[in-house]
Amino acid sequence: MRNLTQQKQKKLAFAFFEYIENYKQENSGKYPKYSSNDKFYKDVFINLLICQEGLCAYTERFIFEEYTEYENPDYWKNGKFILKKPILDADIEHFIPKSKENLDWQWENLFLILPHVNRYKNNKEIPDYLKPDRPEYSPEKYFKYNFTTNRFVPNPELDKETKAQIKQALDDLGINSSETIRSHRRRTLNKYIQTMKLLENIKIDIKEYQTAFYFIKDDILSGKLSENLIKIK
Amino acid sequence: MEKTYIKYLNEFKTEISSYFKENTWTKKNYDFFQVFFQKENLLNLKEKLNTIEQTKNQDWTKNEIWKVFIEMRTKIHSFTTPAFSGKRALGNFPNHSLKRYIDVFYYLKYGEEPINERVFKILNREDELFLRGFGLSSLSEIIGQAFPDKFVFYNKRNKEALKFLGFELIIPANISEAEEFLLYNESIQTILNDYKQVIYGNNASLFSKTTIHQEFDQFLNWIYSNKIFNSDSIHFQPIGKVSKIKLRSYNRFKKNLEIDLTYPLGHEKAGQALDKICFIGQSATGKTTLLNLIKNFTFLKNDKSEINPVEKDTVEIEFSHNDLKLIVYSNQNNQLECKISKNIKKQKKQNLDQYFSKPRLINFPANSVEHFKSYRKNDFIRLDNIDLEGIVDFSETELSKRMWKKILFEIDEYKREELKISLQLSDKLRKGQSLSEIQNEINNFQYSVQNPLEKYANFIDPLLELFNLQIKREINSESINNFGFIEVEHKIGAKKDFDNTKISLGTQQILEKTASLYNIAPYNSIILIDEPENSLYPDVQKAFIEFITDEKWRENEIKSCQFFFATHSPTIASAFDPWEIVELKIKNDGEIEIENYLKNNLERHVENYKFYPKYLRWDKILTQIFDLPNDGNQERDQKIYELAELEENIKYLKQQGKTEEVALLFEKFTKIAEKLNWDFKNAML
Repeated sequence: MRNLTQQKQKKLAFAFFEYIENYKQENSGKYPKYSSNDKFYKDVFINLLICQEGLCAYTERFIFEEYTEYENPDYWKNGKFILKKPILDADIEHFIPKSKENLDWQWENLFLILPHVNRYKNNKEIPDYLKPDRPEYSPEKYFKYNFTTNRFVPNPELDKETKAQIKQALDDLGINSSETIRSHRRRTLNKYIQTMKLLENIKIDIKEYQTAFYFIKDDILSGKLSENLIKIK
Repeated sequence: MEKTYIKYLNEFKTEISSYFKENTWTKKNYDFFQVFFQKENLLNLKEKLNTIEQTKNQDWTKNEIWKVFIEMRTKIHSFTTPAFSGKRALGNFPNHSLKRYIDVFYYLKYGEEPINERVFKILNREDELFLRGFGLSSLSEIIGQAFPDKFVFYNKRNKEALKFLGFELIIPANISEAEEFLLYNESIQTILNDYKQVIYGNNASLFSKTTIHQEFDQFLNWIYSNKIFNSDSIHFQPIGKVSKIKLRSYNRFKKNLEIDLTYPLGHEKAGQALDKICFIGQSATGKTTLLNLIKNFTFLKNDKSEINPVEKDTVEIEFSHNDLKLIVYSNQNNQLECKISKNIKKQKKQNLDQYFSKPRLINFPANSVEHFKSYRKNDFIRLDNIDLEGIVDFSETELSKRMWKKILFEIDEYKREELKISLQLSDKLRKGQSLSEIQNEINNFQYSVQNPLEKYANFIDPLLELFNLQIKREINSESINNFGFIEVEHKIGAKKDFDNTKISLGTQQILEKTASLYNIAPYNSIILIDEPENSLYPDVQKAFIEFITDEKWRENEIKSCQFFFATHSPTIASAFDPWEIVELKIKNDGEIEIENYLKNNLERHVENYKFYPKYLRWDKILTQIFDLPNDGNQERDQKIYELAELEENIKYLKQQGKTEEVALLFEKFTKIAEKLNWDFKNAML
């Protein structure tokens, strides 16, 4: 799970942002009720997709690889996305469950994630320090990625209680728990490693699973990983 | 009283000249049989029998006598539509000894008994007059050709045409086909006379240059294709394969759900209906419901009084055949009806009638296997043959027995013929006939008649091989009397005899389904198989599916069929391409949806699927197709996580130089790795 502080800019769905500001002023800081039929739904959806560079906010798997095409200014008019909503398999997700606090349409609380990841997350609460758009959040502070088992684990330096929280969060965010994600992550990382081995000095473009890649990068470069690659389940 | 059909006779009169100018085959067929039934010709064929040498594995299509019968096939109308039906009777090799064929036709034309008696016996298929593959309509043509000024052909078309003309045939129930044919010919005498009067009056020269009886058959044909098929009011059955299921609002299915059952773009059959489809999904997602819908929509019951469980505007099933599309839906009165989806020319509409399937649908419900190991021949005698016209439904009791009856009686018939011939030959031997002549006669029999048991065994053995079994080909003298049932034996290497009373459920279910398909020899049929995996070992499940849907069998026995399976088995799912799988899923709101296997936003093209079950590992099929959340159970997952944590801890402690602790953790690590069957050398320690 990457840090999204930089990426999550309010850039395209102006109509929505203005509406929220006005609503809050008139309703003493409250947010309007959330509904997936809402007139701003697809604007927020596409804006999130673009901010997250097409990736699922938690698992870093692509939701839609050609996301940049929706940045096309022709598709936006007065801060609204004017095309029909594309058929993309993704859910708008509330980091703090919407049942919990009245943050329904708070931009900072919204992320775009894969629907099967949402099956794990659903209404579960995740420790605040793991919120991807918190400036203080960083993956290396909280995690290690274990290549042997293709699982994330808490950083061994942390205290026992935090470790337990993180272990739970990794399951609740689908990062460790979803076999679909795991096997895709395994395949994608293998592809990176193999490409790096074959092409040596050529820089490859890492988009999906940047966090996991970050943890194994040194081992790949030292050649430690490529030997084991094929055999590993 | 004015007869209603007179006006149609008058109409035909205005067209008759051009009708027979176009229709030349009536005369051609007539000419062929005129020559064939000459006494000289038949005696000549008999003569040839003794001079042509029979050899094993001979090419029958080059046999001089059989060639005549192959030609005959093309002269019998009911053998040409559809083509295969003729091949079953007069195919690339004979079903009986050549002598039998000649004898039957000689007897028909020149036997000593009165004509009606001979016709009666032939239609009754009495002992030596039985010819496999010949049915009432083909025999009626042969009889009509043998006596062209005495009998009119009898078939479904003619019956319908007569009914249309207001000439209702009254056929009492429970009379034999032979009686039915004779009664029919007796009854139509009046209309036949009217035909002659209206069309020709006193003029004796016929437009068709055949006989009044043959012309009358063509008149009925003209009525059928011009009057019956032209009228929109006629109720007809959907033909072809299922190409789309639209569930507008049915049970718990999502509203306006459309299931596209055609090959995707990029496939050589793109746009055509799929040949095989596999429904998967948890229990209670409606797999069996869909199979039942297909069953009810494929063969529409004529009985309008029956209450149809499908309400109007809820379900539509589209069938397609070439570029024709037909839609079955529930009408205002909640009755199922079939319509053609777009306007088509009259020509095409007639083509509908050319389409033929036999039977229309076969249904194997889950757990349909009867425990046939206890069957005995005597159980079968009182049973009716299976009616292959509409739906053959194995949920009906005793259907399985009726199916087996057919194959057992064929074997029995062969055995009797064999026995009789050997008796005849020993008689001839006693009377001093030369050995070489007798040898030739033995060859004649052995090389011309295929043993039905052997044929069946050849068909089914490749599958039984998976169980190291095969069909027992020998029938010892004891089992002739008590010839109970098809028996199996070990293929190789077994010391003990196979105990057929202990034949396993799995073997029984395979034998029954394959034997049924072999026996029924479905043609253009829709075949439903619910839970084909029952009692089968995983690898056999897949082999079984591949066996019965294999193209090579379709060529011969199972032709041009559409298979629907409903399964929980991952190995069965692996026998399908992604476009052949329909995965039903319950969404959070309780609605049932179809899982979309196409990648985001992409069109239905063979390259655009998320997964291809044929290329997946078994565990991947479970996680990706059957959506199991994990690649093992929870206990395994927990251990893997422990391993991950241990390895990262070891690395961390190593950096800190805490060797003692590292050694302790490593011991733990290897223990867990062993339990997981994990090659821990791969670890990054």
